[in-house]
Amino acid sequence: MSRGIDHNLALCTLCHQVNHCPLGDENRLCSRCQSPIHFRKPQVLARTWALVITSLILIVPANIYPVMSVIFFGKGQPDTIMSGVIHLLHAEMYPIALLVFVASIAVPVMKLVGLIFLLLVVQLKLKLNPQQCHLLYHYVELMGRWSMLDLFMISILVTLVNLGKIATITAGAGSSAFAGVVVCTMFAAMSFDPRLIWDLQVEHSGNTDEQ
Amino acid sequence: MADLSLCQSCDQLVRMPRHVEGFLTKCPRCKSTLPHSEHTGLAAPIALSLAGIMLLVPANTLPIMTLGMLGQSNSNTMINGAQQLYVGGYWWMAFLVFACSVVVPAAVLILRFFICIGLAKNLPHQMVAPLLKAYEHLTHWAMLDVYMLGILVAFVKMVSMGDLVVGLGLYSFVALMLVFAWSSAQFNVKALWYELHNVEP
Repeated sequence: MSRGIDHNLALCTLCHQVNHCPLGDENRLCSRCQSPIHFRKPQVLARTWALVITSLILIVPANIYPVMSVIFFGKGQPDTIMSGVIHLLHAEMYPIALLVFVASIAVPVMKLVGLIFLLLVVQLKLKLNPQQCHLLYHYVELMGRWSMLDLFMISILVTLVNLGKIATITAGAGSSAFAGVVVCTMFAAMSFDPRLIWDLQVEHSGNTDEQ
Repeated sequence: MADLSLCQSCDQLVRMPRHVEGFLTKCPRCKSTLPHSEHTGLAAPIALSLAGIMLLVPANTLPIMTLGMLGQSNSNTMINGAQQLYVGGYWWMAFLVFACSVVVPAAVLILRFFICIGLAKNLPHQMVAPLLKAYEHLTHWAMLDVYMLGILVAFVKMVSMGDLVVGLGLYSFVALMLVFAWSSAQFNVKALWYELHNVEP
């Protein structure tokens, strides 16, 4: 197995320069862009766990509290994320209901489940197909930003439906928590290092050689 | 060591093959796409980012939609979406929405323009490198495509509520989004880093 770390070569994660780092001299700056370089991102497990747990806590208020309230002629109707989807279903707007469900409920939950799974794989050194774990990470990283959909929609509706006593839409406490979930899961995906998944393969094959 | 590279996803040591136009280089172990050091020139990204910068003004300030009910009407723009949230006390959401839909896309376009100009004019390493670094950090947070979908959902939700009229802002925004995506495709940032390396003595 020919990895960069075995040859004292470290990739700069910012500019993709290959840096030669003699042994024990890991904390140095990239020769091209002067950012700090490491063989693996530092404290991956601690940082990613911290962000994942924060998101897990925030996802509770994000789903319990209303994300926005529609007030028609003085009568308000607060909507949580799920009740918003159900309203769209009742109005027979199925594609939009599916879109909102996927972006606001399915994606954040699947991202968190995926990240927790990957963290457990690395932490417990589970023998799983690294190619599949890698694909999982790739999708977690790719779809994260689409959760912002709900927040953008709320910001548009709050401004658009601002007709005094006839109809107004206001944001709710849940939306702030949801914004927190989106940001924390995005940072969590960025702080994880997919190279750790592939390192397990080397560790496992090393262990079998000893036996 | 010039043609040796490391895979960013699995740390595999790879000898990079010669770049062939239209083909991607994949890591032999994890099949991730590896960035190449060749790019297709600076003219296209300069033109596209300049077009994007010009579209920023109408897309951000002209009304996207106007909703009319019982003789009253109100319209929204990209900028006052965040403003209205801030007025309502949701400063954290307002910050996030404003950053991802207005500030970061604008910054990314401006950075692209100046990076390309800097490389075309052979400006010193110390001037272009900070721009490239800032670009690498910001680019994840530009979400014009997601905002487009947000407009679509808002439109469908409101179309039965009253008289919904699409404004000039929407056309400008769609143009901005397309130009932004096109310039992203033409702006090969990893290859531009190599360009910077060549300038250095």
